[in-house]
Amino acid sequence: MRRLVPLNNSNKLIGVDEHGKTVTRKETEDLRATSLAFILGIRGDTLPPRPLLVGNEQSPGVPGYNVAYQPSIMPAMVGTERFQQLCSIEYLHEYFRQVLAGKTIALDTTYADATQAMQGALKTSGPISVYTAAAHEAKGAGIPEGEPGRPKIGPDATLLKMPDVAQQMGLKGSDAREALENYQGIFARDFGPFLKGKGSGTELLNGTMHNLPQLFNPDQPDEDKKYSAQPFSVSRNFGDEIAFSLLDAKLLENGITDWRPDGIVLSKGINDPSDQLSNEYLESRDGQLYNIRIQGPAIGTAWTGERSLEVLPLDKVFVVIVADVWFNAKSATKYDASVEADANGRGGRTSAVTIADLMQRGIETMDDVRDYQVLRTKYMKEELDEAAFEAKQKEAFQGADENTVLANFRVMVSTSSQMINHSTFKSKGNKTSDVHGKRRKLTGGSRMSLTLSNDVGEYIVGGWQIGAHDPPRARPTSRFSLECTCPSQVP
Amino acid sequence: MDTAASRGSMPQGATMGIRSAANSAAMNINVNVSWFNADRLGRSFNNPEGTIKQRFEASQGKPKNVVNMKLHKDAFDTAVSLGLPGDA
Repeated sequence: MRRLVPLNNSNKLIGVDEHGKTVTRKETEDLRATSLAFILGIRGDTLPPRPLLVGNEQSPGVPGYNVAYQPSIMPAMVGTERFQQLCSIEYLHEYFRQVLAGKTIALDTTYADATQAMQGALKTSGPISVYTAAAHEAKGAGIPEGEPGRPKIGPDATLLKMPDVAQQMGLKGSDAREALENYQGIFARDFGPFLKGKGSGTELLNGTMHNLPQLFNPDQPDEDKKYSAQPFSVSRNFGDEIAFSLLDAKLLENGITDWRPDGIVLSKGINDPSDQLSNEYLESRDGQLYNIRIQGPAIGTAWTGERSLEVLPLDKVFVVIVADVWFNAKSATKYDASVEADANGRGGRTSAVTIADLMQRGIETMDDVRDYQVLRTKYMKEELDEAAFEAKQKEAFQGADENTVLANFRVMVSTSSQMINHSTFKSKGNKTSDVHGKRRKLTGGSRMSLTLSNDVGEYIVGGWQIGAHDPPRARPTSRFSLECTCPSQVP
Repeated sequence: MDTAASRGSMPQGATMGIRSAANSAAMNINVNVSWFNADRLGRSFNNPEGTIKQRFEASQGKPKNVVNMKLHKDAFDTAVSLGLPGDA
């Protein structure tokens, strides 16, 4: 796929690296062959471009991040030749730090509130639309509330606590209706590093008896009003799926998925292959043309740059979104954001701000972000009381009311091997996990090197599979060849 | 880019140590971008109690924490009220 990217550095972000050195990140400067490109995709709202956090003095005057709002660099082109914005993962890290650092998502939002604030397009597709349609049909057929076949998500249902919608949707006598009830909703207190659904094993259930057409309302005396349901199947954990689709919509609305992986850069293309001068003219005036592999084989480099995470054939490679999960933000008032002065009496600061304050009023300025980071460090340093955590874990699973809030979103590269081999919780590894390390140690680590503490934990809240590492072709085996025949790499 | 990462011999046949520059080794990726929500990631790859083993390792048991057992509501409540073995 060819992507024409505007020549433009007005979206540059100026930040400070871990050594205190000022660095400038432009969207495409780190894009080269073999690297992963992100594309500015659909937006969850029609608001103006996302601003930088208030008080950011390093990148003043950045207007926003969507060419649709910048007509000067968006001439009226249509089709595949239109301008599209690409960026590198290095830029995306900075984008999360400077534009999205204040975003929070409360998981105790009710279903009604979450869907009311949602764009229409998001409600008319996926699990939310299926639930809405099923409830509408059943109501139309005259099925009373609470009867088999008429699902209802009550006013107290939240992303953390959903009813067993699959069971509700099943008609009388069907597998879905006869299934044992499940807890449903997002479980955000696991020892593992993922938010996960509360449901039982994944399976599909028949929604009608014996998977045959069935009358919705057999008791209806009026023959003309009898309503026949066609056979349908429903996911056993459909309540979990609705909760996660609400979370996905929240991620979209908050801009966390503004930039989405597009593909691997194959090369920078030529705008006008027949004429070098014309090509240079177009290049300097209009934009850069990238060849991106959005589907199929591409050459990349070692995915994570981590020696202990060598990617083996058939491993899937991912870009995942990580967030801090505050298990009950309202009660997080133990620490304030004050900082003690150093030995020379410098750097001290008094602040009464707590996590509960920040989560209630929102993180809107760079000062808020600074306070948040101070508070986060204090909480993360606490040693995890595993027994107490387990007790609260069960209460949460059973639907205890908690003000669970996601904050401090960022992206991380990962692989399927890393998730399987390093997602196990280990007490010792969790104690020594480095909260701020740029590259965290994996060997002997716990939860993919994500930290778990008493009031907050780092969790993966979603991610994109980029593709699978294709096995190399079978190596030559003739007597003239002494090539490596490592068995783990031969298909 | 390290194109020699998998070369085990010189062209004349002399064996050599395999150079491994993990940060720059070329890798063939079959690109297929798709969104995984956290539940799907967890159901596919989560291994919170280390019970998923490699193919030649003997399995050392099943999850002990009730939240990892994928139980129905009644079974979960019963397990919690009874306090399963290994359950704090």
